[in-house]
Amino acid sequence: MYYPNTPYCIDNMTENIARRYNNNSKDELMCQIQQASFAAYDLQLYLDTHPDCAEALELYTKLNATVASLKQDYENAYGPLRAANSPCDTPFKWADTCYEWPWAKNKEV
Amino acid sequence: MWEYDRKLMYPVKIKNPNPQLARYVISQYGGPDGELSASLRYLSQRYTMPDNQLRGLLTDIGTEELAHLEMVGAIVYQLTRGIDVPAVKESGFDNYFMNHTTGVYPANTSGEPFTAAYIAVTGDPVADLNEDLAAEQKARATYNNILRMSDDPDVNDVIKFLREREIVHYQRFGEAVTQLQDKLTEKNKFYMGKDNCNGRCN
Repeated sequence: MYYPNTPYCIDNMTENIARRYNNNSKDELMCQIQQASFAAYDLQLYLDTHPDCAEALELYTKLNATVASLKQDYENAYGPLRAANSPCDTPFKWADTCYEWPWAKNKEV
Repeated sequence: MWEYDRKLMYPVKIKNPNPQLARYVISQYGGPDGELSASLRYLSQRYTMPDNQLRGLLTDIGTEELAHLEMVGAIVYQLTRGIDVPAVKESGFDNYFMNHTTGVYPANTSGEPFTAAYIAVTGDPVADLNEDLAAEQKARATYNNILRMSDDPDVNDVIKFLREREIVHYQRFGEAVTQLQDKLTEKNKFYMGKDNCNGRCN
C-alpha cells in the first residue's frame, strides 16, 4: 500500500541509511523527521484523491503528531527549522553562521 | 502561502564532485521535464480547477515538486564543490561554467534557459490533468536517462527516490482524471460557460 511501499522501505534500509546519514544523534533525529514527514506527505496526496479513507486519515494524523514532536526535539537541540521558531535572544538564529543549510556538503557550513 | 522548513525532503549527501554529471542533472532543475517546470505547471493550473479535491491535489503535488527542485539544486551544488579548472575543461561543464561558474541556474543540459513555454495551462481541467500525466512520465523518463549516465551511488540513490515520486504522482493524477470524468458524466457541470458556447460546450 501507500506507506509501506515508500522508497524508505524498498531498498536495503541499513545500507542506504549509512550512506545518507552520519552516525550521530543529530543526523539520526533528522532521519526520523524526514521519514515521518515524507510518509505523512505521501498520505496527504493519497487523501486528496481518497478523502473518505478513514484508515489513511488516522495514520496521517498520527504521523503529523510524531513529526511535530520530533521537530520540537530537533529545534531545541540543533536550531530552528522554521524562522518563526527562532529563540528570542540575539543573534537571530535563523541566519546564524553555525547552522548549516540543508544542501551543504558534509562538513561544510 | 508557503512556509519553509530548513531540511531537504530526502537527504542529499554526495561525496565525489563530478561536473559532467552535474550537467546531466541540471536538466531536472531547469529543463522541460524538470522540477521547476512541474511545480510551476501544477501551481498555476490549480486556480481554474473546478473542485476542492483537484485544487488540493495540485497544490500539494506542486509544493512537493518545489521540495524536489531544492533537492536537485542540492545535487548540482554538491557535484560542483571542490572542482578545479582542468576538471571544468575536460568534463564539458565549461560552457555552463562560463556564464554561471558553479552557480545553480535553471537550464537544461544543452544550456537552454528555463522557459514557461515548457508548461501549458489551458484552464480546461481535463486538458490540464492529461498534461500533468504526460509531465510525470516525461520526468520519469528523464530520471531513467540520468540513471543510465550515472555510476555514482550517492546521486543514484536520490534520483531513484525522485523517480519513484514521479510514478506515485502519476497514480494520483490518474485517479483525479477518473474522478473528474465521473463527475462530468453526472451533470456536465464542470465545463465552463455552457451558456457561452451556444449550449454546445464539449
